[in-house]
Amino acid sequence: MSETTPAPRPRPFEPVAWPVRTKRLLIRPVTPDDFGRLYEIRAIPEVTQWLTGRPASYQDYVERYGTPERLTSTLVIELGATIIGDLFLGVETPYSQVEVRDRADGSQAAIGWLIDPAYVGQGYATEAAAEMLRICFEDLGLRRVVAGAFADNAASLRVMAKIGMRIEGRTVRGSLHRDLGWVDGVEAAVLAEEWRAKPR
Amino acid sequence: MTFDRISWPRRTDRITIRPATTADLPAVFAVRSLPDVAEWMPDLPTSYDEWLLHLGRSGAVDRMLVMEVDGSVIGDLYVHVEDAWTQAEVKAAGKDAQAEIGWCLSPDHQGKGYATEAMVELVRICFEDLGVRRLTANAFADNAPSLRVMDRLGMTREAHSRADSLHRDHGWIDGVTYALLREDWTG
Repeated sequence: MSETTPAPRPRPFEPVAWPVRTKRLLIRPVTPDDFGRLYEIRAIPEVTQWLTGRPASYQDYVERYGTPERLTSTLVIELGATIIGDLFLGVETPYSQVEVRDRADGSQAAIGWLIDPAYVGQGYATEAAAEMLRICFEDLGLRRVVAGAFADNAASLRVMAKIGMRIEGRTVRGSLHRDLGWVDGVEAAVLAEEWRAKPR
Repeated sequence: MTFDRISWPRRTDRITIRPATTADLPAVFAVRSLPDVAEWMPDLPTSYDEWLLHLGRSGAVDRMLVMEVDGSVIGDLYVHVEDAWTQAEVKAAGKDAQAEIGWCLSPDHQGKGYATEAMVELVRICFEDLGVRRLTANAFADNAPSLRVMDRLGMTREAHSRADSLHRDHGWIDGVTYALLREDWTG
């Protein structure tokens, strides 16, 4: 049975030494200076096919993604000097019985990713998402990471599998798509102990 | 409020179902404060006054129905109408499109089919009177009696989540989510 979720954390990314570098990419928290380029990517219709929001204009983008909550849960991916996508990392509180709420508070994250179509097919999403798991488990000390997707978003499901997330649930016609109507969703998760046990 | 649109009480063969009133709360507390009952419930209330405060503050009292048999409250039901997950552009179409349901039955009345009987009626109320298109119910995976009721209601297990729920005594354990669409409901 549902209980109210505590307010978002003010500075969830603070424990991380930014920027974080992978083999080919640089990952860092978003700033308003990035909005022009990030809107350019989100304005491509195929990018938002499976995403929550399709901004109608730059102004609309800023209104949706310039909020304090979004600014503290969005990272950008750079390849060389170019931003090629963004990442969502939202720290949240999973279900707990009331008496042990303190121990559950802020112990989980939901993650998501998008890549400019000009850069897909080269493993950048997988590289960035895998690094996000490392950030969640090693830098932020979280115990569980979840990700959701439309069931027909094959590219996203492939990334989930590659980074070691398990499909835990499939909701039947529970998610409303702007063009396709009520369609299935999948929920994936990985625990810190599973992530640590996985060879990398 | 959600329940205002419905004419109460609703009756099944053995049970009367109606929104909880202040006068019902001591009887509901008497059930909820039993450790065996609270094992799988969101809280184990120990003080009636604190429990009342929590009920009011969380809005839970507005989502509570009671089950009555022969004039006695034997437990409570829970209905929380909520928005479905939608893409932002079609958010309005997902408003109040689904409901989460739950129940809590006095141990004296368990094993007699009361939970199933009441929940069959609650499913009908949700689909026919509240007009939702989808129902969900959540439980700890080890709460076998609750899972049996979900099965009997024709709900489908959509998710089994590993160590996603924190229990006050058992630590991090698995949770399950069941769902039922109106179009799959056989009434």
